[in-house]
Amino acid sequence: MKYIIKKIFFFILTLLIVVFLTFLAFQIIPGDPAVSLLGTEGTPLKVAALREEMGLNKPVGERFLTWVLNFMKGDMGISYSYQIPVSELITDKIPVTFLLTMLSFAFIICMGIPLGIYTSKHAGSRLDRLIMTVNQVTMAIPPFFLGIILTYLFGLVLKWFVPGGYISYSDDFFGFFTYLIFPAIAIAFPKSAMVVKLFRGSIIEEAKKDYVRTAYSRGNTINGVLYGHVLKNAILPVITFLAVVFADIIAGSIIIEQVFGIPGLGRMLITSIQNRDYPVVQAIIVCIAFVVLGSNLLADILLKVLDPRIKL
Amino acid sequence: MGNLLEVKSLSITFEGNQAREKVVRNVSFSVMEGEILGIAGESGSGKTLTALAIAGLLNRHGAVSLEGEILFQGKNLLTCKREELRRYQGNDISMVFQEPMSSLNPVMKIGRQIEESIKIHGTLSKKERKEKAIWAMECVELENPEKIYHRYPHELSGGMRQRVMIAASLISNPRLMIADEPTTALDVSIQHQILKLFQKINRENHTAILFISHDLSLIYHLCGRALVMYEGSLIEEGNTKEIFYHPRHSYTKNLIACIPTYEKKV
Ligand SMILES: Nc1ncnc2c1ncn2[C@@H]1O[C@H](COP(=O)(O)OP(=O)(O)O)[C@@H](O)[C@H]1O
Ligand SMILES: [Mg+2]
Repeated sequence: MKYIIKKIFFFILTLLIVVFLTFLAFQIIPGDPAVSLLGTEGTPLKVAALREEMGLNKPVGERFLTWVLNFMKGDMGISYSYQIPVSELITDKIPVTFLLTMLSFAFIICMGIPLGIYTSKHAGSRLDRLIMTVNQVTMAIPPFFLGIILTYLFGLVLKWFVPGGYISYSDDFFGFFTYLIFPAIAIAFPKSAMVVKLFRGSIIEEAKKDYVRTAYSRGNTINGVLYGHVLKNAILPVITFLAVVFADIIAGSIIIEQVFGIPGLGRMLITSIQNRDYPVVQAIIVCIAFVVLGSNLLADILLKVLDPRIKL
Repeated sequence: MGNLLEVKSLSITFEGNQAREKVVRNVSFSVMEGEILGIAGESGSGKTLTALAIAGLLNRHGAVSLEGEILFQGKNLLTCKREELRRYQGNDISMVFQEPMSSLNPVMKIGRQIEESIKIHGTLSKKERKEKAIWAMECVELENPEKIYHRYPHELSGGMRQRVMIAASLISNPRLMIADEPTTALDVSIQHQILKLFQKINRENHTAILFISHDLSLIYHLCGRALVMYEGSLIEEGNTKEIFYHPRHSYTKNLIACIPTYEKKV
């Protein structure tokens, strides 16, 4: 329990640091939002007035504090380019990216874990060697490239989905869901190949340990040893890795949303950076940091539950 | 008393890359019901492999071939089906390994590891199994068994871990317990306590014990009969005192000479 409280404390602390650093970064990056907002109409007088109105003249520390306090109240500021509250802008993007991420993660688990178990159990067999060869190649495929191949194959040739024909979840949830399957596969494939390799190796290493021999000496079957003893030990490094993968999926989704034309947080992030729409960029980065740090927190808690040896 | 275990011309060969290496050569001996038989010999003489072969744990090693017969209560363990062999493992034949730390599963509670064999082979309820595990822990003189039941291996001392290993192997009341260097990883002061434990188990449960050690003095204290192995072969067999005072083989003489003199008097 003490361990978990400590982890949560560090989670909040890290999140604050990340938020502060992004805030600071936007103060350093050249380019005045007031200038870009006014565009060609930007006379020095108007710019100065707008700067005052936007609170850009106050000290950084003060602005940061106001921003954090407002953020916690759910007020993420007003988008510079759309002139509507940021929260309104991103609330209907969050479910899109959330589902894409979850779907990718589910694919990674559903492919990586069973294949890792299968290949380790039949290590050295013909099928194992085939899977591991394909695996080695799969690992090296960048998701955007896989995305293009999938679009071509399943979109243009087989016509299982309409490329670029994104369906909003509020219109047709099933259509939305099926549209996300291929981008999720594009993200998941290389990662699940890594999970297979890591898990397979981990199981094979664990199986050499002395306690496995003890387990056999008590009359366990092969499956009894595998499921009763080995897996719980072998999964530990995989959990740490999955937390890293989760962060990577989010980074991957930014690119994949471009390839498949999905209006999620990733696309919004890229357009907002181009438009210097800082309130939006900041809000999205905080969301991403929250999820990335949150997945690490979850992994730490899970590891603690599974492995009694972990100390504070 | 009849023979519980008969090993007949057992040979163990590792199918190496080019050279077939015979590491146990034509070993024959038997263990009687309820006796403590010792196997002595320097490290590398094939004691562990012989023990693993009897316990049915060598097939895991892949490139190893076994010849001869291992008859347990008349049944040849080398030719019987895997499923049949499994019914003996942890039930009639149990093992105590040398390294009590690495031989226990680090992420499984002590209690569950102790009861595992009766869970696999028996029909007891969860509550009955726990009662039996507590009984086994009391047998091996572990203090606070209720508490230790919920502990993990890394929370115990080396001596306590070895007691846990012994509790786990006696819980099913086996006919044969194979202890492969069970005290080698422990302090000398704890060694003697563990030896006493084996004596007690043998006396109270009539469990036959195959006690393996490179240390002839331990075998002298514990075993009525002993074997001496050298480079994979049995070179000496007989009454422990006989071997100790009238060794036939010069190798055995050397082994005895290695024992510090103060221990010989004990
Ligand atoms: N996996 C293996 N592959 C090849 N040789 C082995 C293997 N395991 C043990 N040996 C050899 O078998 C011999 C006997 O080993 P072991 O039974 O462990 O000896 P002891 O227990 O008496 O110290 C040793 O010489 C060792 O080199
Ligand atoms: Mg040995």
